Amino acid sequence: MILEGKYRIPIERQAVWEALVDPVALKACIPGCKSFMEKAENEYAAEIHTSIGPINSSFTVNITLSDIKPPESYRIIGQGKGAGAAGFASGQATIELIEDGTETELHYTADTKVGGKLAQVGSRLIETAAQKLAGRFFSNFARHLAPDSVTTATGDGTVPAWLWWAAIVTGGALVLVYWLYA
Amino acid sequence: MNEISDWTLIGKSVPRREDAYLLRGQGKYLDDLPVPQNTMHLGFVCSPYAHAKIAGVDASRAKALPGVIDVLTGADFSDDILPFAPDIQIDGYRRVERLVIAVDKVRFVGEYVAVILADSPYIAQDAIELVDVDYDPLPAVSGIEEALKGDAPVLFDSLGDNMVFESHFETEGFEEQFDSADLVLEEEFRLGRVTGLPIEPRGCLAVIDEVADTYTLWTPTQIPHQVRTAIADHLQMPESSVRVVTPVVGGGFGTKCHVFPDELVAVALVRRYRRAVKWVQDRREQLLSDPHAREHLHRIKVAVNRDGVIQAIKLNLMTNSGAYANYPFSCTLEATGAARMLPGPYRIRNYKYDVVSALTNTCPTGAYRGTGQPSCFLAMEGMMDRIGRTLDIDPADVRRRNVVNPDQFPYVNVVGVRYDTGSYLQSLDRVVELSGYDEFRARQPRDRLIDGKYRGIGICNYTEVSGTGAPGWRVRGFAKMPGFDSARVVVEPDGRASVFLSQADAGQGHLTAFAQVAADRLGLEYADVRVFEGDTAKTPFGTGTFASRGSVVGGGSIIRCCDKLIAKIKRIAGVILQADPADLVLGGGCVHRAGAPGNSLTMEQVAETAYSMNNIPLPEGEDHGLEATDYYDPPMVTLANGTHIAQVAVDPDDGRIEIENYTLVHDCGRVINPMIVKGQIHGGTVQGIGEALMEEIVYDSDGQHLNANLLDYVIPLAMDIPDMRIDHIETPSIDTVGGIKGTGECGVTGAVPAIANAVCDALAGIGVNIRSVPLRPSFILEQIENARREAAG
Repeated sequence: MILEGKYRIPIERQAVWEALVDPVALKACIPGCKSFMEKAENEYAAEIHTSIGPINSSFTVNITLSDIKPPESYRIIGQGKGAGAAGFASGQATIELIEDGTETELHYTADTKVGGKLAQVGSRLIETAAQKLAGRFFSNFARHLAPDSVTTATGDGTVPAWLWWAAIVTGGALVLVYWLYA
Repeated sequence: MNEISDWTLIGKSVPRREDAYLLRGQGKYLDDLPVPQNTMHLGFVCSPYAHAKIAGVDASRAKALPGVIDVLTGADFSDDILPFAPDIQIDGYRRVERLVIAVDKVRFVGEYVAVILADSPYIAQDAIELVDVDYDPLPAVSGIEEALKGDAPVLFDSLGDNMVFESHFETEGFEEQFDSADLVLEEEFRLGRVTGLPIEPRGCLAVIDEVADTYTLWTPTQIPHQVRTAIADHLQMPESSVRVVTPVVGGGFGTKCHVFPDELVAVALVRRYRRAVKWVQDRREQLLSDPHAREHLHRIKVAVNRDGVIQAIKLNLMTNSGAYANYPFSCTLEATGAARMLPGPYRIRNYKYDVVSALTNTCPTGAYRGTGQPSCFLAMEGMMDRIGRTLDIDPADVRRRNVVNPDQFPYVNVVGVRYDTGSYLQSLDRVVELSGYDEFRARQPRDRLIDGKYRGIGICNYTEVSGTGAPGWRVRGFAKMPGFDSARVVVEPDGRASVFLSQADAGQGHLTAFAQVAADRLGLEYADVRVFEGDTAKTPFGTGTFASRGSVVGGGSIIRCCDKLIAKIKRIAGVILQADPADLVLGGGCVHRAGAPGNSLTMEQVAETAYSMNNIPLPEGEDHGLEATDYYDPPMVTLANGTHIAQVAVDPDDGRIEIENYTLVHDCGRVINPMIVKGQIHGGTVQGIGEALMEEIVYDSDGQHLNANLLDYVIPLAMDIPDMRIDHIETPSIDTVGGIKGTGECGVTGAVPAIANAVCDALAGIGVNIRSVPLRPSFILEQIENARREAAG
């Protein structure tokens, strides 16, 4: 399954880049993320608990960042393995940041594979499950950064900086979520 | 011997004795059997990868779980169990081996990697989750054409490529004949991957008898004697130390006529641990690793003359073997079947076929109701319609012009199969009449205006290979397939009879139908005959129940055996009645002189003498007892035939297909029990409707199985099934004992092509060409959309 998308973010590229490589926020906001550890430089290990259809399992995920060209692009390679017979998910995503004045356009292309029980009984559900998880990630993230405020600023053109920061990390996380679950 | 007149029970719809217990929930299936204390329950760890090296198996967490007895891997069986490698002696076959539990490499999703032994099935399931297998994934391939490309991942390094079987046939002067016809039509037909899906998944219970030093395997198989032979062969133990018993079996459909790794593992474990072993499959495992079937690609060219008469056929057929050769049929069953059966009821004299079977990283394919026939008739009957459309001849007439005519029997077809008798033209004419085919054709252009649906009608005129004997198996390379079946008939001391048959019922009503045959032959009341099957310790050796062979070979062996026994009955009665045995007849439970029923002996009186229970001595030279055993190896094959007509409505808004009218005429020779035959036709047709309209096992290009569950592998429900109008023609075989022809596969064989042709007929007018199954709504919508786009330019 190949997933593609892009986001337009009205802050400068360097700031976006820095947010994209910060694991702390990711851990707090990925639904079911129990741990997110840096194993070595550009290598992370995460444990994520999730349920897709009838499968309710913990996934151990190894993440490697490669082809890092700050602040332009990098490649994430991930291997997720479900506990026991739950199956596996693996994939890679290329994330590219294109500078446009003081704004940035984030492009991602993710190629993912699922296997085992996840594919056998969950393949019909994967896409909607990924969307649901992404939605939960957004709301988690808003709460994470502004616990007292669940309102979303819209329309008046003065968007709080924290919200853009949230959007950036969310964009990265969305990709992560997609190739973990899709 | 074949002249069987004055039957009184054969031909009657005797209610099935099986229904008395099955409908009350009293049937004892495998999982209902009481198990010995201390039984170990198995759980199999299945590969989630389609193709991978096994770098290591860490079972420490599983072994630590309370209730887990042991966890074993493939290496633990390398001294116990020989790999499966069916002995197929045919040119073009390349032998591959399958280990019962994978050792270094897995080749399909669902292949066994380890086995758990636990105190309960629940603990076994929990332990499966705790086995950590380290896989190094390899590139995988799932499609037939992809597997045969030069750069495809290779499953067996020893072969060098994925071609596991190829076969070629060509009649003399073929190319010349092919080139001289008026025109050539060509088409490509594809069939999706399906599976038999019996409602009862598989399982087994292996127990040890310490006193007799034997092992008994309870398994819901269609082939108990072949399972026993396979266990003895692969576990290198005496055949006499193994007994295979079938409990009540919840459907077979060919799926259960294979021998499985889990059966060998169960017996190996009972032998090793001296404790009973039980395993029951779940639905996901069934869809993952029970034999799949079809997934054929036909490329067919038909050279035809302007009058619609076929001059020559060229077939290129590709079949998907899956990752291994199944046991015992291997990867040649469907390939040789479809190519050899394709000429069907037609006078094809010039024929060429090239068949290949490819190994792929998918579940091994094997036997499933119909084998090659729904496939080859999708192609053949599809071409009949295309000839009609091209030459503007009604498709029914195209068939009439090509069919083997009544005055041409017996007829030997182009690949050497003898058609002894048949009603190819009569069944076509009758179903055309019964279905209102001509009236439909007349109103077809109008009918679309009623509700915006496209309507079409499709025919499938087919032959059904049944009752294959040893010569039929040998010609297809099956060196170890016995072909014959056996019956032992005993008239007990009370004058009632017991029949012990080498077959195994999986729901076909053998206990009823074969009692009808034996009672009729012995002149006994139906209620006085009981039939026993499915136990290698009680029944004589034989091939088993599959490929529409039960009635032909089982019925034939009972008739032969009864005749042998009748000779003895008459000899004994002749002495007592002071009559020439040749003048005696059996009937009404008695033996008497023909035409003189007044002076008669009851069967019980004859039996009393035979068993030395009265004062009448046995005639000199006669042995005690009143039983016989006989064997029947039928002809190469016996051809049943029939014609299905489906009329469908296709809704262009949602792509759904409704079967509005379904009519079929069927001829399986002498009918033993019309009600049972009708049931076989109903069930087979339902499976055909499933295969034509919804069922398909889907693999992605990496060999991941995407629908191993019944939400996503869609099978027909009662609401999907139309009323079927069924009529019989009875043209007894002149080659088989009793004139019987088989009937198990006719439903699916007729339904798949008839429905596909009907949909094609409905949509041909708008430029949609239907040449594959299943025809799911999404597919139909896409085809209609494409055709509209193309029409719009």
